Amino acid sequence: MKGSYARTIKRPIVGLFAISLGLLLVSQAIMAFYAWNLFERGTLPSLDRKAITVAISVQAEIVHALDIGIPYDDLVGMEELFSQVLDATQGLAFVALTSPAGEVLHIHGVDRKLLGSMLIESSKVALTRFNEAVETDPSTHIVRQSFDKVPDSITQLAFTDTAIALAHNGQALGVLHVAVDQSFIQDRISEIRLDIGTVLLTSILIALEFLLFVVTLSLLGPARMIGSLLNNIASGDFRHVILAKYREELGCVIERLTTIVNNINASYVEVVNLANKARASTRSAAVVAQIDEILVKIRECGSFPSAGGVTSYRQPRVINIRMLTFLFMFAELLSRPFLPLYVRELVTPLPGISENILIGLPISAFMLMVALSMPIAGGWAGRVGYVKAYTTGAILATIGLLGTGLAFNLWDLILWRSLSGIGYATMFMACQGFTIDNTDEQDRTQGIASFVGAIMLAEICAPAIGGILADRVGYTMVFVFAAVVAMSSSLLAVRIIRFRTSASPYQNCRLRAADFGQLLHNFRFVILILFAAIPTKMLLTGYLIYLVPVYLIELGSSLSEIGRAVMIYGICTMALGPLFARIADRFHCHGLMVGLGGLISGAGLLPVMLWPGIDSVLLGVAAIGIGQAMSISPQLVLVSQVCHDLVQDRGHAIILGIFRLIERIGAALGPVLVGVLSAVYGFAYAMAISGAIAFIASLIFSVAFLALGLRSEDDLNDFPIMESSQ
Amino acid sequence: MADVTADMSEPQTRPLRIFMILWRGETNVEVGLRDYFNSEGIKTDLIIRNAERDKNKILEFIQEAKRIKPDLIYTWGTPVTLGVVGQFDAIDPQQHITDIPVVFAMVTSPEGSQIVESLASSGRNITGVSHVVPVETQVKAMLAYRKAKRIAVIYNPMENNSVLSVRALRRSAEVHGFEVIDQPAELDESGRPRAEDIPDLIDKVAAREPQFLYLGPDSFVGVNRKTFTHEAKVHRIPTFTATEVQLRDAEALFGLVSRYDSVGRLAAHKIKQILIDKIPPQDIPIETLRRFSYIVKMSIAKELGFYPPMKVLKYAEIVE
Repeated sequence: MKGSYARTIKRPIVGLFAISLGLLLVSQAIMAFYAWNLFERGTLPSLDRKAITVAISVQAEIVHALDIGIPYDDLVGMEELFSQVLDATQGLAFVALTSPAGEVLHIHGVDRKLLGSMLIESSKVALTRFNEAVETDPSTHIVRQSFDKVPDSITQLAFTDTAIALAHNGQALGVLHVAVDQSFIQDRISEIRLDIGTVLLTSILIALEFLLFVVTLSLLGPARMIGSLLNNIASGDFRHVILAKYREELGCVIERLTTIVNNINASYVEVVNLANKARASTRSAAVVAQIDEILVKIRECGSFPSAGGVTSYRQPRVINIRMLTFLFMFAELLSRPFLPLYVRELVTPLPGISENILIGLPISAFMLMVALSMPIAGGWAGRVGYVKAYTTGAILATIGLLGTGLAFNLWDLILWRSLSGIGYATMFMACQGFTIDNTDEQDRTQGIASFVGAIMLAEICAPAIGGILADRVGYTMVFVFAAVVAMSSSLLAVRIIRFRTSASPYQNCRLRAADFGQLLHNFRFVILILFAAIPTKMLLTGYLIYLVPVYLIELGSSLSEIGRAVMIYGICTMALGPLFARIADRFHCHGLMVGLGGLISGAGLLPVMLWPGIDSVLLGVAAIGIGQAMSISPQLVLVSQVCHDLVQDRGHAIILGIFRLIERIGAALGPVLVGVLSAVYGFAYAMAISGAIAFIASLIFSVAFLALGLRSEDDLNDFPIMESSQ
Repeated sequence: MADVTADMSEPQTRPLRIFMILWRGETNVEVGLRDYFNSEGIKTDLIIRNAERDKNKILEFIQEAKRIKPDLIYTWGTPVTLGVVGQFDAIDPQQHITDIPVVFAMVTSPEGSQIVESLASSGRNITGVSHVVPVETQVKAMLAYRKAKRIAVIYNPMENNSVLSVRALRRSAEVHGFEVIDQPAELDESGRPRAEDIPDLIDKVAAREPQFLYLGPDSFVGVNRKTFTHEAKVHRIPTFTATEVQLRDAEALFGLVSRYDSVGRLAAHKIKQILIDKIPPQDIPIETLRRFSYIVKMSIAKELGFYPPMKVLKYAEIVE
C-alpha cells in the first residue's frame, strides 16, 4: 500500500525541513547576535554610568559633612555609608576612600589587604586630572582603570575602578573609588548567552512542530492519499475515492482522480446493466453464457464498489491532535518554573500552619482535580464529541489561568488552580480519546507516540520560555500569555477538527466500586501502585514542581535558570523514553525497568544533602527524568501483566483508568508532603528525604516482585497509553 | 486646601472662643497653633491665661472659665491639664471642667498621669496631644550616632513620668544589649531634689564611663537643663535629649524631639475637629507626632570632638 508516490513526495519534504531548519538557524543566529550587541551596548556601559553616579553622590555626601564642619580626619561611619551604597547598587565590588597617595583609608566590599597597590595609580591620575581641570563638572574628572583576574594571584580580584578626586574648598583631600565587579558582568553575560541559547532551541523546536503540522495537513497527508489512490487504480481497485476537499493543485488532482474513478465505476455499472438487460432479452443459453463470461472478465479487470458505493480514505487526523495537545500542555507548563514562588507571594501566614505547607495546597488542588475529573471527563468527551469537550476544557483552562494570574489570596488561587485542573483534564481526555478513536490497530502505536511527543515537546519548551518571560514581564503576564495560548487552542480546535467522531469503547467505560475492590485485593497490583507508581509520581510533583523552584531561588538562581533546570526533565524523558520502552519490550524486563527507574530517581535526590547547591539539584532533575523515562511505559505493561484476568474480564481501559486515578491522587499528595518536610527540615533535606522515601519504596517493590514473580507473560498485549508528567 | 475644608463645613458665623491656660507663658506650641488656624482660615478669639508655674492660679482660671463659658479650653502641660480636668477616676464636677470640651498639649504621659485610661478614647469631653517620642525610638536614635555599652540616666524619682521612661529605657537596653546607669536624684526633707546636687550626680555617673547621658522628659532635669548639660560637657559625656529646649537653650549634643510648633498644629487640628467638624472629643484619639526631628548641635560636637556619622547626616538637622 505504501506507494512510491508518498516516498517521492517525502524526499522534497525532508529537503524542505532541512532548508527551513537552516534558514531558522541562520536567522535566529543573526537575531541572537543582534540581541547580544544590544545587551553589550546597553547593560555594560549602564553599569559604568551607575558607578559614576554612585561616585558623585558619595562625594557630595562627604562634601556636605565637611561643609557643616566635620574635619576630614574625623569623618565617622564611612564604612557604613559605603555598605549602604553597595547594598543599593547591584554589580559593585567595593567602594573606597584613599589618601592622595592611594593608601586606603576607608573601604567596604573587599579586604583592603587584597588590594595591595592597585589603587595607587588611578588615585594619582585622578588627582592630576582634578588639578589640571578647568571644568567644575565632577564627571569630567573621572578616571577609569580595569584590573583583570591574574591567574596565579591569590587575590582573584577583577574589577573596573572608577576614581574621582575628593576636594573641599578647592583642595584635594583624597580619592574616592567605586569598583564595578567584573565577575558580576561575566555572570550576566553567561546568563544572557544561556537565555539566548534556550530561546534558539525552543523556538526552532516549536517552528519545526508547526512546520510538520502544516506540511502533514496540506501536503504530506493528501500526497499519501493520492499515492494510495493511484496504486489502487493501477491495480484495478476502484472502490476508494478521496472526499476531503483540498485547494489548488492537489485539490485539482484529487478531483480529477475522483472523477476518473467515478466515471469508471459509472461505466462499469452501465456495462453491467446493459449486459443484464441483454441477458434478460435473449432466450439463447449460448448468448447468456457469453454475456456471463464477459461479465466475469470485466469483474476480473478490477474491484468495483458494491451497493454501498465508494469509500473515502481517512484523513491524517492525529496530527491535528498533536498540535492541540502541544498547545494546552504548553499553556499549563509555562508556569512550572515559578508556580510555588508565585503562590508564596500570595500566602498570608496562618497561625499553626507553616507557609511551606500552604504553598503546596494550590499545586495539590490542581493535581487532585486532574485525578478526579479525568474519569468523568473521558466519558463526557466521548458523549458530546471531542471538539466540544476540547473547547470546553480550553475555556475552563483559560479562565483558570487568568484567575491564577490575578488571584487575590491563597484561597481564591486554590479555586483557580482547581478550575485549571478540570480544564486540563478535559482537554487531555479529549485529545487521548480522539487519538484512540481515529487510529486503528496498525497505526495506534504511532498515533499515541505522536501524542506523547507533543507532551514531551511542551515539557521542554514551556518551562524554559515561561522562566525567561517571568524574569522580564512578571508572573501575572505569563499567566495572561498562557491564557491566550489556551484560548487560541480552542479556536484552532473548532477550525481543524471538522468531523464528528463516534464514542469509543475506551472512553465510555465507567469505573465501578467493585473494580476497585477486586484490584485492591490483587497483592501485586497494590505493591505496584504503592511502592512504584505513587512514589515516583510524588517525586515528580513534590520535587520538580515544588521544591526545585523554591530551593533554586533560595540559592540565588534566576527564573530563567529554574526554567532551564526543569527543562532537563523534559529532555531526558523525550530522549530516553522511547529507547527504554524498546529495551523493556525486547528483553521482557518491565519489572526490572520500573524498579531500576524508581531507584535511580530516589538515589539522584540524595547528593543534595551532602553537597547543597545548584549542581545537585540539576542532578536530581536529570535522575527523575531518567527514572521516569525508564518506568513510564513498563509500568503500564506491568499493570496488564499483574491484573491479567481482570483485564480480560473488564477491559484494559477500566483497569488503567483505576491505576491512573489512584496514582494521580498520590501525585496530589506530593506537594503537601514535601511542604511538611521542608517546613521541618528545610528544602535541601526535604529533597533528600523524599528521595530516600522513593528509594526505599522502589527497593521494597523490587524485592517483592523478585520474590513473587509475575504471572504468565504469554499473551502480553503491549497496549500503550499516553502519559504525561502530570 | 484651606478653602476646600472651609467649604466642606458649616460657614463660621463667629470666631471660636478658646480659653487657653498656659503653664509658663506662650511657647512655640502656641505659634504652631495660631499658624494652623491662620492657614485654615479659621477665625478665633483666644483668651490667654498664664499660670506662671503656680498651681493655685489654675483654680482661679477654672472659675473664670466656668463664668465666661468659652467654646473650648486649651491646656498646656500635665499640671494645668490635671488641674482642669482631674484624674479620670476622681472627677469632681464642682472643681473640674466637665461641660466644656478640653484639648490638652504637652502632656508627657496622658495614661501615666491618669488623665485618660486609654489613648484611643478619653471616654469624656477631652482629647489632646502628647509630645513625647517613644523611648525605644529615642534609643535607636542614640545608637545611630554611636554604638553604646553604657547609657546613663539622671532623674527625679518622685516624677511618675520619669520613672516610667527609665523603666522603658531598661526594656530597650535588653533588646539592644547595653547597660543602663540609673542615677535617681537625692531628695531633701520636703521630698524634692536639690539643684546643688547636680555636679555630684554627674560625677557619680561619669565615674562609670557612660557613652551617653540620657536626659528624659523630667521637670527637675528640664528646669536645671543648663547645669546638667554643662556639667556633662565638662566631663566629656555626650548628652541626648528628648526635648527641644535642651538643645536650643542648653548644651545638649543631640536629640530626637517633637517640634513644638508641630505639636501646636496637631492640637489646633483637634480643636477644629471638635468645633467645626462637630466630632465629639471622646471619638478623637490622643496622639503623639508621627515624625520627629533629629537635631545635632554642631558647636557641642566640635567641643567634644564627637561628630555625627555619615548616615545620620542624611536626615539630621544641624544647628550651631
